[in-house]
Amino acid sequence: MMNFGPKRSHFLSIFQHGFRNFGLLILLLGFCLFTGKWSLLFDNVALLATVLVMPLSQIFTYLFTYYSIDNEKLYIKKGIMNRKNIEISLDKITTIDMSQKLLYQLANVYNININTGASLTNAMSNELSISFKKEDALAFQQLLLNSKKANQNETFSLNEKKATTTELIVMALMNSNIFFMFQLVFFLSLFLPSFFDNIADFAISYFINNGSIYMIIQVFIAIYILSSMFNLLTIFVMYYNFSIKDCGESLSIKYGIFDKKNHTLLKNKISGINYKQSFIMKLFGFGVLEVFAVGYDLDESKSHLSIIFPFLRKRELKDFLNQFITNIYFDEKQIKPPLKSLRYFFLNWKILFSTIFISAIVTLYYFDIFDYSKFKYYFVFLAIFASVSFIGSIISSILEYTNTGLSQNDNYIFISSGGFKKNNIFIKKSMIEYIQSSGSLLKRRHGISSLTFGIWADLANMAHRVKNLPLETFSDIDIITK
Amino acid sequence: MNYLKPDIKAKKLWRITRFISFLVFLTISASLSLLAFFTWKEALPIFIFVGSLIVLWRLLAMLIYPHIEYKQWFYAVSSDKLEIRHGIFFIKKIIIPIYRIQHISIIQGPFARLFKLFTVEISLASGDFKIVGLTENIARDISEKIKDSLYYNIDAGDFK
Repeated sequence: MMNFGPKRSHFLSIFQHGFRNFGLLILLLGFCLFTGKWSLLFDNVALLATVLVMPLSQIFTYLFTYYSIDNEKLYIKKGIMNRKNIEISLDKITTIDMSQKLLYQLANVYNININTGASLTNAMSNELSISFKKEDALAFQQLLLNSKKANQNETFSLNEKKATTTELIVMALMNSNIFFMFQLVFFLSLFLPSFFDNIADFAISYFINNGSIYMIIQVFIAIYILSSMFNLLTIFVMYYNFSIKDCGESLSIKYGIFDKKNHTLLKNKISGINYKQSFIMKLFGFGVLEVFAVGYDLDESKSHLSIIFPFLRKRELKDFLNQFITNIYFDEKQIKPPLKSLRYFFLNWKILFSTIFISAIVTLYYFDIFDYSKFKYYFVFLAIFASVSFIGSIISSILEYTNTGLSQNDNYIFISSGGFKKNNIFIKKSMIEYIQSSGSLLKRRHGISSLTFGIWADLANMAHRVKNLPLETFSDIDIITK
Repeated sequence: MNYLKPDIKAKKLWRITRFISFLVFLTISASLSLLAFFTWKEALPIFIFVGSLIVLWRLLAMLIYPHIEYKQWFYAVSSDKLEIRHGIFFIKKIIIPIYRIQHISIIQGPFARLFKLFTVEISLASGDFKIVGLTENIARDISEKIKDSLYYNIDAGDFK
């Protein structure tokens, strides 16, 4: 007995990947329209067939794919000649994402993406991306979630938290992507070399001759404001109206203006959470909360972006977690790296590269290898950059030593790590797939090793490392939960 | 835990595979140095120096590393977990709960076939791990033991 369907996806699903499927056809039509050479389209059967392959395949997929749900499984029947029947157990579904692009909003249609965490999900991503009218979409989602597990109904909602506009603004300011601005300047300089060469020469010579520390600060503030404005715009469009709602056994996450999204995340599929703090965020006591769960990505183009709340005060973390992901928060005394391990924190790529960089500049200058007077300003700029990177990497390593720690209770492990960017990670022990202790012979002789936890999560969050802890920590962790 | 070691023949197998890699590096280094001799004589000492370092490293890998590696290779399979310890200068110790194993493969490369040795590959969702240098019986025993423990855990309702 079917609870839903068999039913086709909404016809708008044909246009879901508009440019990918219709791009060639649109380009050809545009070309014909622009040049007036319609004969190109009608006289050339091979060309016409080529550009029609993708659109026709989408139309066939729409016409001959049916979805139905019973109490236990989702059934997908596809094809005419080559029939394909797919059955997915509802228990295996990890996340259900509902989204509405602008076109879908106008037609009141929702796109539903289902993820099971299985390797086949990617292979049949087309079949698992389904579009329905609002009523059908909500009914479909309810049945997938199986009323035993979760209830999306507003009246059953236990807790809800919304990110305010002010919070989004502060988040944008704190996530200021200064590097993006540098990249932009760099790429522009490639296209407009002479203009930028003159500007750069002028700016650097002006700094060297007339510049003061206040002027440098002013320039950095200007770059910071520009990059913050850029971030503000992207974050606003993306996360506008961000809210998280507790629906019993699942979490519902909604956000967006033009591209509205609604993710449903089953709590028992969550492997862990990460309270991430950039250096500035840490100074002001804020952070971003991310979740580790197979198939949960806020932005498909950035697979690591798995935020469940974009802006959270440190003092609110405990209450937030107790409200939305019960029992995950705990406050045990942390095992910290011993003082003798401090030296090992300095053995990292950042220090190695910045040392090589600074040594190269000193060598070039000292041995007078080339006539540096021609590149005087660039040389000074590089020397400042190398010194700042070197000092920065030293400070980052010291911060990494102070930030690192591990604690555990019966069900969870808490690890903190990172230098300027601090990660506070809570991992469910039952979701740990392996634990690895690694270290050189010398390190082991000093009673130190680094631990890596492999967890059942998306690709970007599968392994978490905590550096240079006492050797016995490895044997103290019991991950065999029954 | 009862810790076990790979078969002693694994040392010979590692030496042979590393000898092949040594030959490859030797050929590349010699070819590049020869090319430099004819086209870029100023850089010849650099090519010879870097090439010799790489060849020396591969020679060490062939002659000394298998002995150290064998000395430090251990594994143990119990009813609820699998433990592996290996490495040359950097030692890795790994614990895998049996119920997290997704699948097990027994594989044999062309050189391993000469020594009748096998590798058991344990696949998890988050990565793969290997127990190397096993005789056929031991490889099958490990595989069966893991399967039995896994089924026992499922039957007992411990599977999560």
